Amino acid sequence: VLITVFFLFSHFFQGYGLTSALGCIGGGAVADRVNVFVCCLVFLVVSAACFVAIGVSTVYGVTVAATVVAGFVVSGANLTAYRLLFSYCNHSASGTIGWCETGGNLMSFSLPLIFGAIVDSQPVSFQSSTLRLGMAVPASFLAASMVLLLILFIWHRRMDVKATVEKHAEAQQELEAGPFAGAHQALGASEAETNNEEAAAAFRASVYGGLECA
Amino acid sequence: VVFGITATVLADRLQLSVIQSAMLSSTSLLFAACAAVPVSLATRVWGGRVITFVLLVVAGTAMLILAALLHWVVDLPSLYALFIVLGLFLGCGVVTVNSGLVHLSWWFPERSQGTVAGTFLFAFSLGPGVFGAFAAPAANAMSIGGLFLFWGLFIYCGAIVALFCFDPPYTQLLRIVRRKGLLVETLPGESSKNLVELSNSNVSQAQLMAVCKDVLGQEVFPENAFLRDLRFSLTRLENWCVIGIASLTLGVLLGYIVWIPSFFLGVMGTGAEESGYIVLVSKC
Repeated sequence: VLITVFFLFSHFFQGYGLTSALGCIGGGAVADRVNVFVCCLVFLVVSAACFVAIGVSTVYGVTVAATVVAGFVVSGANLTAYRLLFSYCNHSASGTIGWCETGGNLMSFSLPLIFGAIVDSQPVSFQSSTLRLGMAVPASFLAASMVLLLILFIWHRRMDVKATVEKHAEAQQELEAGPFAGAHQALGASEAETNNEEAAAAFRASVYGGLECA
Repeated sequence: VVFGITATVLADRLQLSVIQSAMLSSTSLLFAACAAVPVSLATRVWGGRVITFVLLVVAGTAMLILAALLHWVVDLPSLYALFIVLGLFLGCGVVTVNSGLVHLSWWFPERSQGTVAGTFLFAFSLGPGVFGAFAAPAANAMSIGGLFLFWGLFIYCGAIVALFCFDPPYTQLLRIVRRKGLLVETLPGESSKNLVELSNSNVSQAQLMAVCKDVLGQEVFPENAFLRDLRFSLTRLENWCVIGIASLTLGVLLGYIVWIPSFFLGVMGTGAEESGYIVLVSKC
């Protein structure tokens, strides 16, 4: 029923305009509500799985269904990439959007050429199986996207840790220069003299307790 | 879209080979790929309203010139080079996606950027679909020159609508203080000024941003200078990762549409029409 509905809608609008848009809007809305890394990863994994299914399946219905799902999730993955952009590249969003569009348009221009070159390199009798094998190209593109997402995630975690350390260092400096300076020195003396961790912790809590960095 | 839908008619009128027809169809996309970065950076300097207006006027003019050529000129095959050049200018219409995305990102809070970008691209994708639905019957009802004329005027309407848009608060304030020669690099004392004072005394970009954030609620800013933005976008690891993911997924999304008919014809033995419908459905 779903495919029929999409079929009718697609026919009415001459196609991919409406349907691609659904993937865009769905991907964008979901990425705003859940963890954007998880969202992007799920879209990429499902997309890659769909292309593998398209290449492997011999059942017409399965191939069509995988194609339908792939269209939606690849569109969603693209939108979550833009969401990542607005979260982590805000300092240079304009230039980055430009490079994304440049890269995407060049990729879309080159991908059919790669497909065509692969198929043309084979004898006619093998072209059917080569067409199936060709689905490895989009699947590998998506796998490469997953690797990039992993790198971005690792970078994000490292930046998080770094930002926390810097925040604490700044708070420490403010504390030493501010009204608690004497108390802070006293804390150092207290820790050195008593060597009592519990007492030092309690004393530290009483000094730092009201601050966010604590 | 324009050359894709009318490819067979144009190939017949211009007596094009398959390669020439393909080149004509892809010129606007290649231009869009090359112009995306300059347009995005220009948007951060002059604002989305002006840039979108200029792009649409250029695209609309190119379309009207095409209409005139198709209507009045008889010896069209000798004008193939001119058609290629006009095809490049039509790419200006495609690049409005960049100015639109950059412009919208400043108007909305960071937490809803995904929905905003999705909605914008929804509308952006819908345009070619809706137009494609009417292009074929319209081309039959009037001449192809008439279709291009209608299309060009439609683009001009879009340009006029763009003129009624507003630039985000920061861009507007920046323009005011620049025009009055009040913008300075740095100034002691931050966001204690109000909007009236901002437009009448020396002010720094940091102060402008602070006021736009505190008073007007703008959350996303073009923080860096033009060249710094370009340098950052190319030298940061996180930027490269995001550019890679977006480029690869967009490449698969668009390249896949082109290839799927061949795949279904070759592997499943479906007819051309049926394959076309699968492509249409697949894009959902």
